[in-house]
Amino acid sequence: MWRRLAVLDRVPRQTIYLLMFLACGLPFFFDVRLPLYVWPETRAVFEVTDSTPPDKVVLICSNWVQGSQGENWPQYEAVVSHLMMRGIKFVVVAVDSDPLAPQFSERVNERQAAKYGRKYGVDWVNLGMVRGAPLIMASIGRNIKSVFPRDYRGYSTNDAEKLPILKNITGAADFQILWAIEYQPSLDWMVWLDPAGRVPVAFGSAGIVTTSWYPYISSGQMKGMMAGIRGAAEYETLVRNKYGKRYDEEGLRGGRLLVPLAFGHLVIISFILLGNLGMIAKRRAAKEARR
Amino acid sequence: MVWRRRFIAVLTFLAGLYFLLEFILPPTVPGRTRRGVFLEHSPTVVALASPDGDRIDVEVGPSVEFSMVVRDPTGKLQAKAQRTREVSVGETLNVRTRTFVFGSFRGGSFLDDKGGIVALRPGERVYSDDSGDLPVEPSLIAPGTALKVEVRRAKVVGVRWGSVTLLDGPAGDVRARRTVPLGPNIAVLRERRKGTPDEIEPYDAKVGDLLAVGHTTFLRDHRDTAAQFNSVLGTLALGMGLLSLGVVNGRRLRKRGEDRWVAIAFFVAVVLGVIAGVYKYYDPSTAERSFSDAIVFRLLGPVGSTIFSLLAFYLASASYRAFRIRSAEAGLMMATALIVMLGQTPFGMYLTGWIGEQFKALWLPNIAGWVLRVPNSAVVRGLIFGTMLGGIGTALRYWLNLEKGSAMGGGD
Amino acid sequence: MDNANWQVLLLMVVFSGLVLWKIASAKRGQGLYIRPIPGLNAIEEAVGRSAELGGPLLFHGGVADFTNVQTLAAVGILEHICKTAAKYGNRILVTTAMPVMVPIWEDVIKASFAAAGRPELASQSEVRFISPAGDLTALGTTQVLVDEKVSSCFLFGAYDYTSLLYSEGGQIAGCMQIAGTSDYYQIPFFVASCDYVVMVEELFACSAYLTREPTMLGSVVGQDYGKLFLLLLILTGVICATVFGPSNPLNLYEGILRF
Repeated sequence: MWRRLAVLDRVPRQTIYLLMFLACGLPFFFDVRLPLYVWPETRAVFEVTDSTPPDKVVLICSNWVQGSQGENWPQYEAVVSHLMMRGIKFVVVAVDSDPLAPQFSERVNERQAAKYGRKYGVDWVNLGMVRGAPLIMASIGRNIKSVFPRDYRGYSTNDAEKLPILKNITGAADFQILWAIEYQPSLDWMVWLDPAGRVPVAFGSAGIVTTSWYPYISSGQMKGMMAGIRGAAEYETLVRNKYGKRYDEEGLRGGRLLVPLAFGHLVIISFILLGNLGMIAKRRAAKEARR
Repeated sequence: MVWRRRFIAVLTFLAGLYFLLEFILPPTVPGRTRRGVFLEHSPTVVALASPDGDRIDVEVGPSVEFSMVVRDPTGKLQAKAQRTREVSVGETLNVRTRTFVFGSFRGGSFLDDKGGIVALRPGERVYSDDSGDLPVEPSLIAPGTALKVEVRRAKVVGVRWGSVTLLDGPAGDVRARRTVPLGPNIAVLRERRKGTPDEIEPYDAKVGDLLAVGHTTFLRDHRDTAAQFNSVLGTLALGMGLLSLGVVNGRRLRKRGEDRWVAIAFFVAVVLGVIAGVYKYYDPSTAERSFSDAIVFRLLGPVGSTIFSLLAFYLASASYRAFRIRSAEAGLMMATALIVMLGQTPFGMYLTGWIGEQFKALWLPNIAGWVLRVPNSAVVRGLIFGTMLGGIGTALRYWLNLEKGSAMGGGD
Repeated sequence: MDNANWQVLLLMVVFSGLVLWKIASAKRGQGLYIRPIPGLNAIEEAVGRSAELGGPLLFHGGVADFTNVQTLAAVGILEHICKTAAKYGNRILVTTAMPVMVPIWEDVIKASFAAAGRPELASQSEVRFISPAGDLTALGTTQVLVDEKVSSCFLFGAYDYTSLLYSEGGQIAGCMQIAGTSDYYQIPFFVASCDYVVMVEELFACSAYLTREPTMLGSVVGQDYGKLFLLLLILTGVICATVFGPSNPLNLYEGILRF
């Protein structure tokens, strides 16, 4: 028996790849719903974002592009759809990112704006990409228009006719919360954007790097985060639970992608356990052979 | 080459010294800073109350507020007035040079409520809040009315550090050119109970705020320039990288070896990329924009996602190959990993959600959360301390030229 | 600076002072000890393996530019690898996703081989900028590993999600791999697919460990003294918070450290 089980110690990697492919791919063809437990970190940032007063905006740093779109796109879309549905104004920037980042974020913005009838320049503005972190983050906190004299579409940020959203927005005092959404957001936001610490900072990052943010959340330097796809799914759940049918979830990906993620995790766990079983079996078989 | 190493060492030291000095030096020049409680401000003066109760009037420099008019032939004010150094040549501005309270109009000149003459320079006109785009008619103004002196629709013809040159008349008329100082060297700092003071604009101050007003130290004025330096360097480097790739692939193409198709694909991709980049600013309904979106979202996007998805497969095979329990510590690590992994997926709730609310501390997500918030945070803090100290040591060695390598300027 | 205050300045002075003090001690001849770091000891073995198999070495300096201290640490390691490669007559390929790093790596290779007395190896070596996208550079690096039949691969510097693409690609290509990064969440990926891993702060001790220069050793020991100082701060804080309770005005320690 041990000799037969020892085969588990050397499963070809092609088999692992195939099973992983099936585990992640098949859920797209079946409508599988899984229960979701909302973590307190996601709830904290949802509540701050949801309570944005009319005279403040949400600042979103959207640095993601095609590489990390699997995790960051659902997160970004969850936040933007929430803001658009509520009519909360937001400003999108990209700092030290791939030059394509504003294009990726703007695509999501336009789609959600079409759903809720929002208008560019009135409900949101995309200021494009700038380089020079971390000092540029301090400049954004002091006077965002000095960093972005023109927006992504070429309008002057001082043009109150085209961009009335920016009319009374200057710096950190006008931001309700900063969302930094990319694979691994920069810790410099906490230090440089508002040294006074008045602007809560929230991260939307890949799941693997979220382990680094827990110390900052517990010390209060960060308000909370969305942890990978799970965080996006939780955020969508929170919005849906509070606003019901007002929230159009058509096309949102957090909840949908959670299922392949869960099954993928199961495959990895299974193979780790099987590999260890194979290792034990191999040792036992060798011991038996020696006897 | 010795001079090159010494040059690198000196430049590195000066760059680090800039930030160190900016850290150490106070934000305003110590002997020229006035402190007090904010009372009121005008375009030229911030009034403070000293601890003894005396009024202190602090000149905050030349008095300009800018508001931007862009493509509005009626001259209607478009934006909130703000003082900004980021003015571009070619833009049209309304410049408010001063305000005063109307007293009377005599001998062709406006007089303020104290009897002083309000001298108007060429291009300046007097407006009130109700007069719209037309200068006020002196005979229709009641004494005590707040008036403002402005230059309307002046074209910016030059921008220098600390001043802007405007043209508000014919280009050949010397009198039509005015240089307006922007006053970058006065800082108004609102002190907080804890932490460093905030730098604010005078019009953001509220009565009762504790302010410190004074001339800035030189380094503070150049913070944004220092920030932009890195930005320019990064942008330059991109062009350099493209050139390097062009040279390498050009060489491949010339040799006409088996890999010439790779070089052809590179050049085709560069052209497509440039076209996609230019077309991305077009209106969404145009064919050009659709082409750009197709390149980015239908070609680049799936390619990037595919590469990222490789990680899932690599992770599975690497985990299977490497994570074997060969010791007690490895077993403990494995058990923790299983708890955290399952706790972060819905299966964690499936496995333990039936336990009941009163024992929800035993739910896998809650256990996983505790592991991440408590032991994991402690470990990460320790790692952060080590990383940061290592970073300080490395940075210090490079700054003080103590790095004893033969490259990067060391080795002397 | 907006976030500068006297507490941060004091900490900076203390940490820098400790580092400079230990550097001065080292210069005066005081012997300093650093524990063995297996990953760095294996560099010679990896270079030798590559020389035996006849293939070049491959070095990747991470996905960050020179403003990141990990890249600065990687520069020191590349220098050592070049000097070791010079002993065996081996050439080195460097791939990068940062165009701004190309002249820096070229300079390091040239200066190191020249210092080791084998300047001709610098012209046989190459720095390849593959793509500004990290994931494409990872795939390109794997392609280089296969095409050039690289037998030893070094991955040192700052890494993001592409770390596993580099290391697993090298694993599949059959290379001996030594990796080092200060990004702790990438360490498990390297541990799973590399032969040796230099972890977190060991990366910053690399230059000192490899060159055994008294100045560099002094700075590493100074860092450790800085850690001791931090431990003392934490311990004092825990005692004060336990005795007085948090937010108690009598807890002067908390008052001093409030930023």
